[in-house]
Amino acid sequence: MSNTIIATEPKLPPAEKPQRPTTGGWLRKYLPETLGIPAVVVIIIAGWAWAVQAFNIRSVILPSPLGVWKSLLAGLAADPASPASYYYHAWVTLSEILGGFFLGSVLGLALALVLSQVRILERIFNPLIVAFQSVPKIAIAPLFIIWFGFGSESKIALVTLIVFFPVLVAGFAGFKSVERERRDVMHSLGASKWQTFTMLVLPGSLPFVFTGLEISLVHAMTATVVAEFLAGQAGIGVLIVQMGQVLDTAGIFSLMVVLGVMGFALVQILAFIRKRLLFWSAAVRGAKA
Amino acid sequence: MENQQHTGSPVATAAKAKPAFIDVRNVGQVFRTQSGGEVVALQDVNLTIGDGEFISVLGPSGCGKSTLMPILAGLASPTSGDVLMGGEPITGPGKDVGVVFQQPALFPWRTVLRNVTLSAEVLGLPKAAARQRAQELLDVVGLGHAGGMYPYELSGGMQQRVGIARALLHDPKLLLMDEPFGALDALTRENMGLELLRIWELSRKTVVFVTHSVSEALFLADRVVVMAARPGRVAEIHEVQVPRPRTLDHMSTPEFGEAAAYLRHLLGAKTGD
Ligand SMILES: Nc1ncnc2c1ncn2[C@@H]1O[C@H](COP(=O)(O)OP(=O)(O)OP(=O)(O)O)[C@@H](O)[C@H]1O
Ligand SMILES: [Mg+2]
Repeated sequence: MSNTIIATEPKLPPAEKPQRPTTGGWLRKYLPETLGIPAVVVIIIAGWAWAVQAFNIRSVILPSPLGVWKSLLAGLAADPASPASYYYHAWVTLSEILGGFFLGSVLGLALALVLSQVRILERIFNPLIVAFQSVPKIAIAPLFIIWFGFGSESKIALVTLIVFFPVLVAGFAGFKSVERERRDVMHSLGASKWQTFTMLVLPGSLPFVFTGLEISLVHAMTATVVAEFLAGQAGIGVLIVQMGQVLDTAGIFSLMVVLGVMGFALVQILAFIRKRLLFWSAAVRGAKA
Repeated sequence: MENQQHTGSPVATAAKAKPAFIDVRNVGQVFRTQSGGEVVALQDVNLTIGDGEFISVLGPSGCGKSTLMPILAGLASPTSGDVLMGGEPITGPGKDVGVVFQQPALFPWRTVLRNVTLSAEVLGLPKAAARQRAQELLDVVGLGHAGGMYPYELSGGMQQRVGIARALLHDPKLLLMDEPFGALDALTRENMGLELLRIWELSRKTVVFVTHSVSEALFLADRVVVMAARPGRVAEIHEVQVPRPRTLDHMSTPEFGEAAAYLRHLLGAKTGD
């Protein structure tokens, strides 16, 4: 974050006087990314491996990096169709995250749209939403398992609920954020409500909507795994609980790696879409440079 | 048609021999404030604007200039009185009006060209023709090269010129401009004034131009409507004698200086009450 802030403003001078157009210049510019990040990762893993050795830590408490790596390979090497395979469980978890994320976003935006258009509903529902927002929705997970069963449905329902609120609040703020003069431009042309919405309100709300989506994506991932901890037939959370019962610490670590890669990929995809769609938004322009 | 000025109006000036296009009759606007009080933003405003005439509206802050604009645009209806356009009462926003605001109010997700064609999309005009006309208008405002750029890539003055092109695209008969150059530096402002006059001389729209600047009002307009505050009202309508086409040199003539001094005196006298 901090390096992006520095990099936004003083962009012009280096572009004016060409700075040694050698690979050395490129390497120097991206030194933190090309060498810094791998170096830190290597140091952490090496330190971890060394500590396990030096203090003779039992692998049940903290497995060696090599042990985690072996577990990961074993999980990935299994036949993708078999329930022992990481692919299968990762796919179940991913589809629950995405299903709930999609449903919650659509419902949240739909209600945000209705509330932003109908004054009476806005006044009735806004206080209720504010009240509900601060309730930790994850607490309802056991109830959802009673209602929707042990399968994916209960997880999707929980994620939907958890995604719903931040997206609703962000979407509502977005739909209400239209600058008065821009609205007057549409109004002075006699634009219909629908035209004003599609040409002005919707695109203008996207920076808000994406902020809501980014917040709730992280919540969605956490909620899915927690719900899988409680009960379930498949999914990474289920697998983690099973491994915990047999003290397979290396296996749990290897699943953390899987979850980490999955989460990172999802966040990056969303960030990529945001950049493509919102290149005009000041917040994105600041972060891009 | 010759003399549309209303009897009873204290500001009856010799009306030009132009057909009346906009007729503002006894318009009043009262706002309720949050605390329950009332603000008389406009009181008994009478004004006749000829077809193709350039009118400047000059007045101290809070005298109701910005209140008048949406009424002329059909965006708001006055508390009392009415406004006729071409003899017909204005009932709502229409395609005969183009509006330029103090802020460019461009749509940042659209390219410059698509900002200019916005009105065509809203009004459902043919696309190809709109694009071509947008390009022509961008050429006119000196931004022919910038059609593919985005608003954030332009300077404030360039954005404002895009706003003017946008307001002209659907060929409105009436162009309303509320302090369109207010956010610009003095030099850009003068150039924009020249540019606007050139556009106006080409298109001969009826223009109502709100400004705080005495010299800008004089430089641009056929007539300057001087307003006074509390209650917002028309204090005087000053006929500008400077010949057209106008150049910046006109601003240094003694006549110009005299007229400016007179208007400043009016403003000074009317704001002090
Ligand atoms: N929506 C409103 N509610 C209450 N009062 C208002 C409202 N809009 C304007 N007014 C009042 O009406 C008066 C005229 O306002 P207006 O914006 O038309 O002034 P103006 O001449 O455009 O001023 P400026 O030169 O500063 O832009 C002011 O006293 C203002 O406080
Ligand atoms: Mg104003």
